[in-house]
Amino acid sequence: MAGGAVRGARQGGDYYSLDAVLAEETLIPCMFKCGSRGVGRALDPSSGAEDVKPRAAAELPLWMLQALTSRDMLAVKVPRWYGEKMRRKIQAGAGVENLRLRCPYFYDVALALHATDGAPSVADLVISTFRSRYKEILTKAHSNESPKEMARIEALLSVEEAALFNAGRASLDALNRWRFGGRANPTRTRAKRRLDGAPVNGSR
Amino acid sequence: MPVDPSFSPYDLEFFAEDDVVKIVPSFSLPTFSHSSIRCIGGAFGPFKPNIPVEVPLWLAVALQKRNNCRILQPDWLNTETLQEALDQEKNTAAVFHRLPFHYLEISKILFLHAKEAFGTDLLKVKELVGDICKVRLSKINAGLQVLQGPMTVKLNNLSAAECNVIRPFFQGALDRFHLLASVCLRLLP
Repeated sequence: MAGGAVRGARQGGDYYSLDAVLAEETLIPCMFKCGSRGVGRALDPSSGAEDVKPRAAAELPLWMLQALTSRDMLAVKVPRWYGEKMRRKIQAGAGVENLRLRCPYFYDVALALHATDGAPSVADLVISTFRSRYKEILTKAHSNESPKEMARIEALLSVEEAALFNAGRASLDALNRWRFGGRANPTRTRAKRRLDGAPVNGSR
Repeated sequence: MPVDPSFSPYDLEFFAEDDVVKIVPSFSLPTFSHSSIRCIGGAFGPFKPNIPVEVPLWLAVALQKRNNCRILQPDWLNTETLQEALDQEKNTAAVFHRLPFHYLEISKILFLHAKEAFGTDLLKVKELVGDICKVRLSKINAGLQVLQGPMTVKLNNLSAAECNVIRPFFQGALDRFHLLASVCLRLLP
């Protein structure tokens, strides 16, 4: 789980965390405060000009933001998945929102954005989102739902939530496997027999 | 921040084997020092036929396998006590009944190796232990749902297996709450 991914590679936090790296690839809408020369095609291959004009809108990956905002070159806009519409949706029912679809690293990106430009509204939204989603769907990791329901829930979760959810399920599964027999890991012959469709405790 | 469970239930079963049970030996051990055997974990004995003695579970099972002893049913593992425990679990939503720390592990080992100790009650006792576990797990789950931020939660009398089940999820959730709250302390209720 990329728990500390917010601290990110930039600040020497989870340098080796794959999730932290992937979270930093998220594209954030921004506006250039001043023009830049020669980077137009690098930022957007379909761009017509080599230079970026002042007040041009672009989507930049998260890892570029801090370097550019610290030089006061960028104005960061709030991405739509933290926008007013999303806020209303979360208030109406956080448990049905598909975060995986909106932004797979919903929480880590929010914390990084907050660290970059100190947007309090984003942090506020994210905290209340996690609080209500924890109550509504994450705690179902320990309940006896059908596999179908579990798969449905898992599809809604962001990467951070899914790591938590699956950890909870795995520990409960381990307990049940231990209590009701069966090996922790199927042995090679057992797994093979199961694949072949023969009875596991079959005749010898 | 990896959230792997640090112990598997099989590890806990191993730890539970250090808990003490009563056996009735059917052999005598003639040694110099009052016929007790000295192990790293302590001295066990004296072993005299038909005189009950307390030994760790692993020794009891080993002796039982050689037909050298009879494992006695522990006090808390009979139908009346368990039924009482089950009723208490059901009646009190907030508090967990006091059971041995390794109650699931001990009962599993005894159900496997000391079936005779339970006589005709075996199925009933098994069922009661299963019911108690089920009730407790659902209570734990209800308790986890009240978590609203990085705060302390009181979980008294939780057993080893139950702690182990909630550990990865609970820890991960608290970490996440803490991470979010530490970014914006003033936004907490």
